[in-house]
Amino acid sequence: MTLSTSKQADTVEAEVNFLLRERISAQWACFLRAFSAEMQSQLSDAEYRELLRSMGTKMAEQLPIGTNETIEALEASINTQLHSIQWGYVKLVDAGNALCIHHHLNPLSPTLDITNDISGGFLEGVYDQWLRATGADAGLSVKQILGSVSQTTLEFQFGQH
Amino acid sequence: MNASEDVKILFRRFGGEADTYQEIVRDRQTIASLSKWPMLGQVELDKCLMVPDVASRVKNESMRAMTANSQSQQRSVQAVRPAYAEVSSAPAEPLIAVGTLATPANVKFNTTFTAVKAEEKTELIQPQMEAADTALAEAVQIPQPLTVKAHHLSTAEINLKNSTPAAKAPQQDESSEIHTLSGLFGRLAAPQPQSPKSSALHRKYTK
Repeated sequence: MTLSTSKQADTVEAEVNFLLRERISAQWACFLRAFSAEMQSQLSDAEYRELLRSMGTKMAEQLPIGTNETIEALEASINTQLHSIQWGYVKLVDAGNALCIHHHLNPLSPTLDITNDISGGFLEGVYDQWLRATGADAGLSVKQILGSVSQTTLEFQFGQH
Repeated sequence: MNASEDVKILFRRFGGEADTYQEIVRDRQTIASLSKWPMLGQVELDKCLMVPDVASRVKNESMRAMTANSQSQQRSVQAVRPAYAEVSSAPAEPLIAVGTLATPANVKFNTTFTAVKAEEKTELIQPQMEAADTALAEAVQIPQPLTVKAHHLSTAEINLKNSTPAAKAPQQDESSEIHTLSGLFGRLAAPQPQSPKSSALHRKYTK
């Protein structure tokens, strides 16, 4: 029974990954994979991740989320932007000592053919910039929870690190 | 003009002496009434003329009720908390009205007694009605039994009232900050316990 359930989950995840790859623009898919392969050959994982983080900050600047008073409003604003570029969706959860960010259906890993731990650097930069623009203190930052089991969901925490 | 006046005027018209006139119809009516309703014979008309002291009775009744009520409420208040024993002017149980209505057994009887003249009826009833009105007015002015709010509070309200402002403050802050970003940022920026050092995985992806 457990094995069957696990197989079903694997199948669903594989299907989701297939759809994510299929959604990548055919015009750019090959180029982006080639570009990513070259970057991985030139940079360490940490450097590549840091590069993606910096790029994420710049992309967030291009997609401003405006002024938001509540967590719910912030989540809605972010999802509006994510929907506009087909980058999945986010769930924000106040965990008391941190704001948990659950990003579902991140397309970057299949596009660049990299792990979630590396592609998460990009989203770290995106969310960090969005929250900073909303008025977060300079001492707070977004940090990915590495080693996520799920292939399609990335987890981050916003707080003191 | 009633029957006896009519007789007097008739006597005067014909030069007769009205003082020697004897009214026998009333006696006959009385005898007939007593034979029809034997209980009428037990009525003491002298006592009917006495106006019962409604005001003092009402006062006594209400004061008794107030004392009993306030004693029971005092016990409730002591069980809750003296600090929240707020006095209100809410009306107490309708003991005053009951006392007033229960009083005039004699009054009711007098108003239906057929042998009494209309003027006498008015004379009899009027003071009693006035007395009843006065008693009612005084009863309204009587300080109402102390009604303590805590007596009517639900358990939840009592718990809320019993909690000190200092104890309530964090709850208010928590509820107001839990969804606002400014509250969230302020809370997260506050000094927090040291978090564990970065894992090996984090070190791998950081320079």
